[in-house]
Amino acid sequence: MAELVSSLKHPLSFRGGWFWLSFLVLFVSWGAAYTQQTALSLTILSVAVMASVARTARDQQVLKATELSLAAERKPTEPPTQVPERMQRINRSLSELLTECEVNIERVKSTQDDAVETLSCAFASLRSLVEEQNTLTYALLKSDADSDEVYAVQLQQFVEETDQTLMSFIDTSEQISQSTQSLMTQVNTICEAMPTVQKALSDIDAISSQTNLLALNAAIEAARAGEAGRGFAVVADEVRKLSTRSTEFSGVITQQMTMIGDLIVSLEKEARFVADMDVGNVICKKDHIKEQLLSIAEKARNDMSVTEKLESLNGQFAATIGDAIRGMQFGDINGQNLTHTGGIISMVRDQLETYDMAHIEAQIEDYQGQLVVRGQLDHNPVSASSMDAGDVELF
Amino acid sequence: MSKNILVVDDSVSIRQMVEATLRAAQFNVTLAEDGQDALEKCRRGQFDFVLTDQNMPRMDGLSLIKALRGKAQFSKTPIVVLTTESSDDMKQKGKAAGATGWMVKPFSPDVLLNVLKRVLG
Repeated sequence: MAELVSSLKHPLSFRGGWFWLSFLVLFVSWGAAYTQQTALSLTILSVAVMASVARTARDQQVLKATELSLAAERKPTEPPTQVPERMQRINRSLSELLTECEVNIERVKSTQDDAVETLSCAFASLRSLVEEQNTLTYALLKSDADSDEVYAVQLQQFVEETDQTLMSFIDTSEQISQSTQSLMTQVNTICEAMPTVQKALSDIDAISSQTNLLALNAAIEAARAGEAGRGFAVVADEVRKLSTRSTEFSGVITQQMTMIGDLIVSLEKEARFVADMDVGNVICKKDHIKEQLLSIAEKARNDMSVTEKLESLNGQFAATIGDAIRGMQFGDINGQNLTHTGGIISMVRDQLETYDMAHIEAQIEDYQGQLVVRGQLDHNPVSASSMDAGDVELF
Repeated sequence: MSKNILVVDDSVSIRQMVEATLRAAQFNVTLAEDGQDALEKCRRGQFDFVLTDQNMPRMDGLSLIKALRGKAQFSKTPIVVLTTESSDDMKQKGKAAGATGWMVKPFSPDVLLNVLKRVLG
């Protein structure tokens, strides 16, 4: 009836045109029936009925959409009178509960964001500190900034080289000691030979003295012989001169031999001092030094072992911080989930406040569209249900 | 020489954690709060790698990727999406937009660094 009134009021509108077209089709079909064209009449009638049914369904859809849009535009502050009082109370209660849920979700999200921000900042700093500690540990291990050589290894090499040097020194000392002993033996031999030389010199002096006396007697005898002994006197004089020179040479040699004797005594004294030096003491000192060096090397090896453990700990520390960083992302993940859930609650609360059951039913059925209208995603962006690392896909 | 990385995410904590991870690995890091902020920073500098979230206010990740792919200097830049979204449909949209890869949150620092190593060579 409303359709008829509408078509009469608006005969040129589409809806009015549809009514008059249907009326014309029915009129033709009745006419066909009266003119014995039954088949034609039934066909036209069937087409008219099907078209009418299709049109009615379409009109209902349009009407529903119009009602939805009108309902979305209006925000009734007062419930319609036809809604039962009990339903109104339930709606108000639900609306209050949902409002509280929204507030709670906002608070949870806010405190969670604060906590996660603080913690993530702390873990970020911690990771940076671990890196710095790694660098310092590495610097402590290395002999210098430009080298990759481990200080403990360098120290071990130093110990070995020092030990070799000490051994070489000890060998040389022992060789010197042995040579000094040999020198002492030879000096003693020379000392023993000295009296023999001195006796020989004394014999030379005695011979020289006798020769001198003999030359003197010969000169006396030559003088007695007179002219005949003149030549013999010359010979006797030459022999005396030779004797005198021989005595002089003997004196020089004796003087030199005395000096050599003094030097040999001094040499013997020095050689005995060297020979008497205790090489065992040096060996003992060497053993002590080697012991100290081995202790240093052992310490270096221990340091190396500790540092290796420290490096391993640093690695574990970095991995643990990595796990913490992964876990801390619950703030972002849950935040998005809470925002989406809060959006749904807000949308439901707003719908309840319309007090229009048909409208609420339609809106809830189309909740994704409603979320988009409110500037939210039409789906929950979070699908994760654990904090395991997410998938990675490179295209 | 250190590579320049642009990190785009509306979550402060995610930005902090990604920054700490990348700086520890000797990367230069620039942070942006959303797609528009990232576009502004891309106008002022060149980046070797872009890591972006998907759902952000003002401009989302896929819109950012499309905008960057339209610029000659970013047409070949690797762009990986780091997001909570894990559906195949979203991944395909990302691929169609020109993303180089897709990482689902939560990320592990080691995995993130491995992705950078693989992409940057």
